[in-house]
Amino acid sequence: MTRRALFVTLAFILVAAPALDAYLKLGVQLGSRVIVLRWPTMPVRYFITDRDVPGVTAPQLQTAVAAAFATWGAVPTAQVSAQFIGFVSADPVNADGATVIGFMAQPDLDRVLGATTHAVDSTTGVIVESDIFLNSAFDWSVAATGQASRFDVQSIATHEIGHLFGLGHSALGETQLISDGGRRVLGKDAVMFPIAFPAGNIADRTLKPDDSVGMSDIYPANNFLQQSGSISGRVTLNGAGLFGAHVTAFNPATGALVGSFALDPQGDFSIDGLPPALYVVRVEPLDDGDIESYFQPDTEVNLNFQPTYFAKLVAVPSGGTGPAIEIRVQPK
Amino acid sequence: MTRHAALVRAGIAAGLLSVCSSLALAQAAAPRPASARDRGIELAIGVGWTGSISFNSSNANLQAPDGSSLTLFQTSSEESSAAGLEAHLGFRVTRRLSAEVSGTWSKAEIRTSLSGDFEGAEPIAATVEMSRFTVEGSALWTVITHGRAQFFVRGGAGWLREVDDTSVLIEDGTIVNLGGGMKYWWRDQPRGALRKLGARVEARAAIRSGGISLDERSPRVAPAIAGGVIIGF
Repeated sequence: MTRRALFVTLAFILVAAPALDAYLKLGVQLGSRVIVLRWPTMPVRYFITDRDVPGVTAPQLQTAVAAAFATWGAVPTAQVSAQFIGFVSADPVNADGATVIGFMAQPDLDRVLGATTHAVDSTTGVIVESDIFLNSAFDWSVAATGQASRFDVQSIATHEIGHLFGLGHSALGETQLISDGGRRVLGKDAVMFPIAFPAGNIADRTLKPDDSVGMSDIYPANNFLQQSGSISGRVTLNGAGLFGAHVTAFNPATGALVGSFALDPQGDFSIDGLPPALYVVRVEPLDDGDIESYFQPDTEVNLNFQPTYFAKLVAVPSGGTGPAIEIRVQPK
Repeated sequence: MTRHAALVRAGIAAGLLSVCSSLALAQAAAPRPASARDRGIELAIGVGWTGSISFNSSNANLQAPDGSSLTLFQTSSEESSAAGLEAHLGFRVTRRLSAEVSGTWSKAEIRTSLSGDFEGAEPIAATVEMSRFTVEGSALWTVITHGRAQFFVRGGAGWLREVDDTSVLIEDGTIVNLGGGMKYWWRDQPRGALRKLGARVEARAAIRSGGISLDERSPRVAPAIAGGVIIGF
């Protein structure tokens, strides 16, 4: 059996056609097939690197990571769990067959708070190991209510553990370019949005509907797939499919937003795991052209179109999908 | 075949003439008390109209770093008035009290206005049509009889099903109707194929829970009116 580390969250492959049941899931290309990344069994057994950083000891890190795992484990329609095995001296991001989470100094990655890697069985596509590092070049905190100028370990761990389980990035957010070339979050509705809230903020300890739906789609429990439905269709510009268009479904009754992408050249998309209801469907280009947070760097994504609403409310049934819709957009 | 079709058409025409004659005669007939042959069964068939309702407005919000909301877009939704058909089958229990079984079908449109888009999407109204079916049991109490007119109050409850126009979303719920109305008998004879014939109108409050909705408010109350013909057996 050969194993190879395939992914870091900074450059991953979204599941593409023909597996258009995909949500924002990480995927691996095996021959001509794209396999959704997932763990074959639960609980995920993990170690913590026995290394303190200013403001956070290794046991405090373990407590925060356990809380982050518990947050995902509490999603009632998903079956995920984790088990802490012990402290180790090994660095995270080490292809040793063990899942290790810890601090690691990466001063050259001056905008990366943390990252997740996966080692995948190259014959089956299942995850055999996943490591998470939190960049100790930043200041960290485990304070219950957050600490000014320090990033919250539990919030960032919750995001990275979403990757560990197989979730990709969500595009449910708005950002603003700032003077140093980075981005500032104006607002977001997913822990899995690729840009963190500022230091001191602990909002990402709490999952949003987009996060819960995504995890439930990969690890369904309690009849999730039978009790939820999908919206599918295609996004077109001048009759041609629009790869990479960001499509969102909004439930006016609950206020929940769930997003997905058009993931093939025909512009086909599917938003899965939606509770039965009527939805507003909206399509937009990727915010600020931030392509590399979602697709491989060389992917061509058309950003030159106007945000558009679909002119009908879209009905979602239990355990199925309605008629496919076509959302026609206009160039900017 | 052609001769048979002509005979059928002639038969239908004769039947219609007969009904029209009976209706004309009924205009002059005085109301009669229930005869010994009156089985106390009435069938009313007509049209109905239910008023529109507004849903709570709802915004697609993102969470800003300071905990406030950043609105991606705004929505306000309403369900249009609904028009449709309804039928009531009544059975007399006492002189004043009847039990009824009712069924209705109506169509309405749900409309959501989308505006204030953070990234400048053109405001539009997204719509969907839906059908509503109800089956209901109710009690009808005749309050007063005045000449040909009977005034009544009615209260009932039942089951409703709402289905979107793609038949994808099917939501069940309950309905309660409280109201009153009038039956006006044009014809009331002790015997004959069309012994009792009249008109029935009513106004009511339709109180619905469940069904297709764009908010989590329940129950939802709308005014409704209905009218049609009523036949007694």
